[in-house]
Amino acid sequence: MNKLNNIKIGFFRNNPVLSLALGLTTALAVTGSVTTALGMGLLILLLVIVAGVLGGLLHKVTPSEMMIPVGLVLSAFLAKLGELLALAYMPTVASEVGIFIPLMAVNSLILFAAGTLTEKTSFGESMKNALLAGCAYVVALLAIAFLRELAVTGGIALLNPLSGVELFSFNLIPQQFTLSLFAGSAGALLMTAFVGGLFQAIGKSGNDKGGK
Amino acid sequence: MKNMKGFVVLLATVLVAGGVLLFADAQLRPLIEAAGSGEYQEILEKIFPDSKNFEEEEFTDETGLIQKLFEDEDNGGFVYILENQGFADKITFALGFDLEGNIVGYEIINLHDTPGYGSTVGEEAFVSSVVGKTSVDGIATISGATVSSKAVVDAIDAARANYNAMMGIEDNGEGAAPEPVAPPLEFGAKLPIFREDVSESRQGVIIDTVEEGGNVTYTVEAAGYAVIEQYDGAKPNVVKITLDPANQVIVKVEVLEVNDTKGIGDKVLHEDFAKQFENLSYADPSVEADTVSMATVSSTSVINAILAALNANK
Repeated sequence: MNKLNNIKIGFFRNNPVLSLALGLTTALAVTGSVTTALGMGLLILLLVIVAGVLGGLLHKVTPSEMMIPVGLVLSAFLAKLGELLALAYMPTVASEVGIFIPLMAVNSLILFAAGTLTEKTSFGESMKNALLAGCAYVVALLAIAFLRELAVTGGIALLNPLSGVELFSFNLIPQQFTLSLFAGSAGALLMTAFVGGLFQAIGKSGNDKGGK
Repeated sequence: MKNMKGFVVLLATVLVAGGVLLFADAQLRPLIEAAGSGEYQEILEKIFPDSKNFEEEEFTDETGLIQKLFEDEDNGGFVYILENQGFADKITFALGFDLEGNIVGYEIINLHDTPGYGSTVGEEAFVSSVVGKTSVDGIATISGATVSSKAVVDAIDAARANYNAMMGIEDNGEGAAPEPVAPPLEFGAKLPIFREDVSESRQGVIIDTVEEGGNVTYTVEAAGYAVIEQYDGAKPNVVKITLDPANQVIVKVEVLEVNDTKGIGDKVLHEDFAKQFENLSYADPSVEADTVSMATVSSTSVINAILAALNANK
């Protein structure tokens, strides 16, 4: 984690998943469609907030040598809570993502830590950083999912992750030009690398200097 | 003292986290259970049209083919969601039992096997061979769609075993699986039996003649697809034809041997094909026979053999 100490999380530069490879496995798993990416993204944001509040509070009262076991309990708690919430309110997304739900919840704690462990910051500051990291994660998920779903199915069909009702859909690429490669994990990794490169390029040319 | 504080915080964290989770679990459990059947609600209601409430049940299954088990809470009964690898893709279907052990429903959820072959497990003929059976009856596979139908039948067997164990029904194996059922034959174009244009190489060759009573039985070899295409080691097809010359009637035709393409030419072995000649009068010179769709050349070889027998009997 020491390496992370000097890094500021940003959207394009130092995106948590695309350039720091935080929560990469789950990112590959949930980006099969925009719907699952959106559903799991919402869950992540919610859990980042919970992790931020609880983590911040615990940080204040826990002696530093007990921080690791307390943190473990917290991550187990978040994992189970996230799983229950997903199963109850997003059953279709949950059945598609399966085992990655608890992993996702753990990721939110990592994201929180990535945003807060940089310096000695105030509670408000660290919450802001954590939220920024969470949002950057979600944006990356959505970008990867959008391109993967487009490549695999030739279009996008966005469902409401909570109810499973279709919000909108369109078809861009004719069936014979779709690439099923991107449905599998190898294709997912390729697409993640591609989007990572794209984001890095945008970050370099634009004035995004990494999260401030 | 500082250590003490750490442990207290840890203990408090564990207790609070556990408590919150217990509470959340209790609150969310009904929602989760409702969501569990939600995905299958439509299929469940198809099998039990008068019921609305289904509860997912725990089950033990060593085969791994049973995905889910739902109990009908309104009228009683069980629905298994089963999945097995078919020919092209996984086949997923639902199988419903009432409380007396009868299979009351069979609904395909996912089936992508070859149209005309594997897809027959989703068709009416197979559905009616499943629905109405009991939990101790074996289900026949379909010949010609062995992989798909075996996948389905294996899964049904897993569900039957589970159901029997659950209901305390003893399966003594008396209802063992019957022989594979052949799918119905599809006939193609009609062909006149009496034709002048049969080339010499395709004419039937009589290899045996037996007279018995008033009937004459000919065993005839005729060139099928394999011989015409000059495959290595190709052998002609062999047909046994019994005629009743006094009444000008074909008594019986038996296709003894088909050496053509497996799965295609050998469709002429189907009993429905030979049956069309039974008691067929050949007094009318324009009499026609049905050929088997997709097996025209093999069918023609059988008709040529019949023609050779008729010519020999003139």
